[in-house]
Amino acid sequence: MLLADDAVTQLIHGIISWQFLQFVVTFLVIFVFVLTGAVILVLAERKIMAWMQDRLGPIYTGPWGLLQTVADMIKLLLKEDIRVADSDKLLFLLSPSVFIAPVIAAFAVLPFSPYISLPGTGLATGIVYYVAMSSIDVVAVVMAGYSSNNKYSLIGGLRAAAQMISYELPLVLALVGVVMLTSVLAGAPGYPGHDSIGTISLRQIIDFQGVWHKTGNPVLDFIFEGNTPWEWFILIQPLMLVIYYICGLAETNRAPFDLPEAESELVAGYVTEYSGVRWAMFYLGEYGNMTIVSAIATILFLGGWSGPGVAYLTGLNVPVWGLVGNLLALVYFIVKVYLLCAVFIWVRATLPRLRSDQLMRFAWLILIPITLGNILLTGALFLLISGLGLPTWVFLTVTGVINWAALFGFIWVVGRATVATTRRAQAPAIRARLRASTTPALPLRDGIPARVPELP
Amino acid sequence: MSTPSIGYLYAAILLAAGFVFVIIATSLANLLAPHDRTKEKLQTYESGETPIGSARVQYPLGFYIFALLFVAFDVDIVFIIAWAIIFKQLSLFGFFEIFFFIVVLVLGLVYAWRKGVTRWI
Amino acid sequence: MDLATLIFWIIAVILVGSALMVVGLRNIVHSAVALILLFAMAAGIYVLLDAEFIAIVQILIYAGAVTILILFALMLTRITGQQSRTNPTNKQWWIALVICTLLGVSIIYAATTSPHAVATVGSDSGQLPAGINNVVRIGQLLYSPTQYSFVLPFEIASLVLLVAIIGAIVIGRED
Repeated sequence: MLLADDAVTQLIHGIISWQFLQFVVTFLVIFVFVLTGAVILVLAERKIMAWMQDRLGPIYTGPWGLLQTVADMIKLLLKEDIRVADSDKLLFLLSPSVFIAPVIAAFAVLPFSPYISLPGTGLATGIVYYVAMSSIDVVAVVMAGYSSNNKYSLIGGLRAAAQMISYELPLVLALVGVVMLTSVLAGAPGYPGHDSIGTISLRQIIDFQGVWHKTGNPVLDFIFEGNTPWEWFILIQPLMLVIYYICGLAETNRAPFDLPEAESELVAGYVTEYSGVRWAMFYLGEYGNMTIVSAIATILFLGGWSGPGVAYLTGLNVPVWGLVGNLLALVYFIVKVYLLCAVFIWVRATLPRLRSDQLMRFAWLILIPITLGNILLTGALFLLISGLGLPTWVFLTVTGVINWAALFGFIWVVGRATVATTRRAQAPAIRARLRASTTPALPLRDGIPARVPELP
Repeated sequence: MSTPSIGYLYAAILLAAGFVFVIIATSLANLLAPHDRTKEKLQTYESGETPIGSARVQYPLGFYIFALLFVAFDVDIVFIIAWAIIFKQLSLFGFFEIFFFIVVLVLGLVYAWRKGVTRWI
Repeated sequence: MDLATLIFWIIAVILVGSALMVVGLRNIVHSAVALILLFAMAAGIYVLLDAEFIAIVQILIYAGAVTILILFALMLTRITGQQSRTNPTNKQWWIALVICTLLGVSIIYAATTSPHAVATVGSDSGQLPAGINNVVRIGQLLYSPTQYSFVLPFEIASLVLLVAIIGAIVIGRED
């Protein structure tokens, strides 16, 4: 093992270092976040939906039903693990891990707080890395559907895969607008980065939304350093946040996009044959995906961890205050993420499931053209305004105004499209009724039609 | 190993931890859960009926077309991101480059729409 | 041998192993899954070369999109209905072995003796300027009108993608 000596010393030096300590802290936070996240979200989902439907939700296990999901978890561990006789054993056992491992790996890109994130500047490929990881999930879904050798599973798996790949495109395209804004802002006074070179690293995108020029007034600095809600990208690109969020719903197969696991027609979709802890893995992955979608939305559009005191306290370079600042950042971040997750639950309780003919058209004919149009519009506006010699803030204001207007236009278009497709789907039934109303009513004898008329 | 790459090593450790986590969870369940396998229990679920035939029959071609459209647009997205990150630097020239690129791809989308591909599912 | 080399060898062994699995596995869907592992390992090698954007794009396009395409294509065939031996084989494997050996030897010979061979890894000559990472550099090389002109290939790429889309629809329409 002489040859490997260098590698071993490098490994030891790598492990005994501050960087690795930072990684271990991040690693533990990620795991605790994924595991508790699912437990909290399941409980929150049941409770919130119960309130919205005027029920109580779980109340018996623990005080106020708080331990319900813990009990569920124990129950799932005690369930028998059934492997269907006709299944493709290898893929059947492999697909839960292929589903959940990319979800956990995707958390690597999320900065939880200034310290709790990957050492250094994080991954430079931020957004693309997240999308790449979520695209592996599609493979796991197809694997699960195929290996079960069950008709419901296979149809559910293929449907889920088709839906996930279709909505992945507008999901990324919606984020491109933010990348373009970072390119415009980079290098401006106070902003990070070199001149006109944007970024797709999530860590840096947070910095772009928290530029505060120190005033010297400690109270103002404490509140606003790194926390400037008027710079959040939601103000400039609100429509993109909405579209990203819609695509996030479809990516995670949540209502109203839960056609792949529509219980009334496909039992449980691709997880039909899974039971016990393997089934739990799929659900853990789904809730993990939900938190990632919310976290990315938080970071790109809502300023990430920013909140009063974070940047000020961590900037003092005193370990104790740094710890307090980081904990504050973690709290702000998690609160924002869970508020967005609550919107997921709200949407589920509000909207009915999409019809299958609306599903694909919505992605390909509405969302993709709008997001592509937004990219071209943002580019053209910037070139026009900078060509006229006007400053950047004019561009930001004009883009913001147009985008807010487009948001209402989008809502109107979606409403029209929903009505139009519904009319088209109902047209045969309406025509049949019209035809029936023109034919004379049948004479009744003892409440039963006398004879069946010939069909027109 | 240089500094940017080390981040991906950490990400790979997280990925591996995901696999290890599933192995730990399933072996824990293996210890706790009952093992009582009967022929009926291991049968494929089909709402209580005895399943007839394999599920793996030929599936509609629509899925394949969507997958191909997806591959084409995925490549498109990679190009767009590489452009968007320095779009201010590239200025007008880069804008028209990406403009024609997007227009050509939208032509493909319009063709798919006119042919009624999106009507499927 | 430093850590990077050790990691390279681990990745390389898994890569070659999964490539053999793609060719050798009896069930064609298992082959497709082994292909994902292969693509992921190739991404690992790109990371070792500091080509992080290419590595992630490799996972996004190949491990994510192309394998889905392959899996959907397999679902369309009736061959997946059989439980095993869906990856057809015949008795000519030894011819393939000879050809592959010859090809491999010539590639190794060419790579080691060519004047274009990479002599040292990690030399400072390939360092990017400060503040410019991999992703930015690729954008600059692709789109910049002055530095390197890849403008025409880029526009042609869009036409290729258009042809791929139209071809898929034309072939795919059953009527």
